[in-house]
Amino acid sequence: MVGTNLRFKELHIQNFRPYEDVKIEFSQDPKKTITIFEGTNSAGKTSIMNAIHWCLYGEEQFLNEGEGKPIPNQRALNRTKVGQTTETSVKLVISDDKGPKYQIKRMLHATRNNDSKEKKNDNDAGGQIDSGFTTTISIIFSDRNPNGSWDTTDDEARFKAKVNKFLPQTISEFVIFNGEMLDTFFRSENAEKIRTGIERVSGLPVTDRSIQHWNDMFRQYSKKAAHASGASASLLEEKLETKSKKLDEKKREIAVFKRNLDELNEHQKQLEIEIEKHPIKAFELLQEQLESEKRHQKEYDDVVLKLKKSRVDYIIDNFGRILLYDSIGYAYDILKESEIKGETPPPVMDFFLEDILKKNECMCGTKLKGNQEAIDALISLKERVANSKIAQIANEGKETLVNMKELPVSQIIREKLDLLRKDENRYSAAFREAKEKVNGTIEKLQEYDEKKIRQIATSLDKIRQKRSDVIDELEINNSQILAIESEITDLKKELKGATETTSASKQWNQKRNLAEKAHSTLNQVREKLLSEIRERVQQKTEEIFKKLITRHWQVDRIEIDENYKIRVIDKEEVDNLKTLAAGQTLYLALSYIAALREVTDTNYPMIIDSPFGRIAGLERVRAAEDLPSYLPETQITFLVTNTEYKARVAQDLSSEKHIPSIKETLQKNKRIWKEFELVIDKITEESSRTLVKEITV
Amino acid sequence: MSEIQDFEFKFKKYASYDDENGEIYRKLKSIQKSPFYQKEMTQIFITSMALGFVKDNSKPLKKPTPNIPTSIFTKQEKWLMISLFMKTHPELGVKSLFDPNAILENAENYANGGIKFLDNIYEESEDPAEELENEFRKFLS
Repeated sequence: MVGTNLRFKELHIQNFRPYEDVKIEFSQDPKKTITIFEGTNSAGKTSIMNAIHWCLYGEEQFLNEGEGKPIPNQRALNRTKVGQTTETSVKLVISDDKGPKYQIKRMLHATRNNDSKEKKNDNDAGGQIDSGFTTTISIIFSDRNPNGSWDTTDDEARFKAKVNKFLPQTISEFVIFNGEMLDTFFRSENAEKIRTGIERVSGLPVTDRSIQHWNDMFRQYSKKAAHASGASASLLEEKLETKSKKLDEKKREIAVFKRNLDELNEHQKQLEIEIEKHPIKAFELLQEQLESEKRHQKEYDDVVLKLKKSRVDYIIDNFGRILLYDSIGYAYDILKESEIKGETPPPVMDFFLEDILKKNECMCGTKLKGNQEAIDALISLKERVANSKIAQIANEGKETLVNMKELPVSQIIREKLDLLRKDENRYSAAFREAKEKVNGTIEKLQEYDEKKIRQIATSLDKIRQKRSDVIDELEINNSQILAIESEITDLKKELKGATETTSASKQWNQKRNLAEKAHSTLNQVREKLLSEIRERVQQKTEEIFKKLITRHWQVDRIEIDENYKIRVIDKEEVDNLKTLAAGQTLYLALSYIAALREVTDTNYPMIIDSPFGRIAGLERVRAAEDLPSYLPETQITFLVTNTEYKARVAQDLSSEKHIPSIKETLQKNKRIWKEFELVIDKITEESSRTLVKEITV
Repeated sequence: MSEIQDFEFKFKKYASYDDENGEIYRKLKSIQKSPFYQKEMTQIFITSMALGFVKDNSKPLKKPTPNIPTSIFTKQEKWLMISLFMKTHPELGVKSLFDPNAILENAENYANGGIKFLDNIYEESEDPAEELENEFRKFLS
């Protein structure tokens, strides 16, 4: 089906990211179709892809380390003085077999109005620039007329229409893409893009227009037949038209619901697989276990602290007494001696002596009556105790000191301290054990990504709910469709009876039947065409994929369903798409892209960033050898890193054989037109620019 | 005995530490790793005094800061100070009891001499409570 060969001819980049003023040329040779741009990381490979994408669609396709930084070259912006304007532009020339066919240019003008360095987000500039700038965008699209003249427009709407006519944005993903990101190519949202894109470029729009035409004719003839049959038939026809429109509307709604349901089913399946890997129940149980273990740990910790505090309190309470034990004994002896000497009274209270004198009887039972000497001694003592304040303090001393002397001595204190320490050690061991358990459980929990689990669980709930809603909606719509279809059948019968009354109406009916037949035949053709395209893509993908991968015998077949979803079926009839290795997925994507391009009516050029980054060893060589052969005459541009392009690696550890580099492989096949190097030219410590230099062999 | 008849044993309202040691008292009382964390100033004072005594280090205060309320000394603590005074002033015997101010001053001097040892225990050990216990065990005969 390939008709036109389109090729990038020239790319002129000015003040776009690391490029100040660079002209890049691409191969126009139908045999040596490959152009190589080699550069280190951040040399500006992705910026070349982004420049093309920005020129065509006004936005960059791949954002990574440059995210947040504006599109205009920073040095150029810094040089712009108040009142001056800096132009950032990308001009792309695309040729067909007759020479330049399209010239597309996008310009961004940044005018400095003041010196403000405060940053602002600027949509046109694609990032943050000084707020002193204002920006404007302008575009030019020129295409060559059949007579060789050029048709030029700077109108935005026309620009967009023209770009979308020759390279729809959905198709651009098969033209400009990042090899390292191809393993995400088969996400369900891409299937829809692929389907739409293919239908747009595979000649189907012509068929679609014919179908629409015959549908319009059918309606027109029906109206005329009804009109020729009188007012009641016209009324019936109007009713029928309204119902038919409603039916179409409902069918469109159903199609959307079905697509949504398909996506929801797939999403739900993926989430269920994910949640099985990290069961939420087990996670919650572990969390509960952790809480309980933490409680135990805290309890043991509290006991240890309490025991330690008791030990310290016991030491402090006894510290002075033990260190001054001799002094206590000494003071006690002095007080005792003073008592003997009569300097201090014995430790008795005056009210106690008063009581003895009153009762005239000693506490031992001896009667004091007649014992005047004893009575006098007691009276004298009572007076001394009553009148001497020192007696009180001396007595307090005698009591306190004797108590202090009687408190536990060294041996008992040591035993008590040992006991407290033993308990403390026991609980410390229990604490350590509890802590180990806590850490073990935390480690186990770390294997779970809590945020992810919660997200999956929430997403799964939402998806299930949405799915159930969509199924309900589908059922409602289906029954509505059945009702409308039944009404339409009745109306048609009624109308048929009403319109077969006059010869004029019979004639219009015949024409209407013819239009209906044409419409239905074209619809069948369309379906057949779509099915053929799909089958061809399927066969071609399978053929290329099986050639490219090492373990091709494991794959039985490739299947592509009506929604352009792909399956890789193995000998056991299992779909392996989600378990393919990164390199295999990349091959599948490349095979698929190569196959799709065969069914389009235009042979688009192809630019791949890091095409071999995700593949290693022999498979890498095979990709370099085989892929271009499936894309004959397709202009291919590879943006590669030095390692990816030139590295030769040992085939295996035991042999000294080396796998040739990509460069050697491509050179051997004589497919390389020219090689260029992206050179970082460091101007100052803070700034640099990228130059493009041809590598001469 | 007439000379003792009007006597009342009473410490002055506050015991003092040397101004330069105020920070040690504050630290020992307020930092969690200290064995005296949240304890009374009097407990730090008595422990220092005992240490000062056993290390034979009585050091007069250069700039007394009266900041330890004597009302919260327990009876035992009071008698530890009196015993120490009697022991260090054997010539006074029971007459020691007539001079509470001298008893307190004697205690302050020993506490002033001992606080540095307590500070060393705190500063030079990862676990000051453990170190205090080791020091204490040395005196358990």
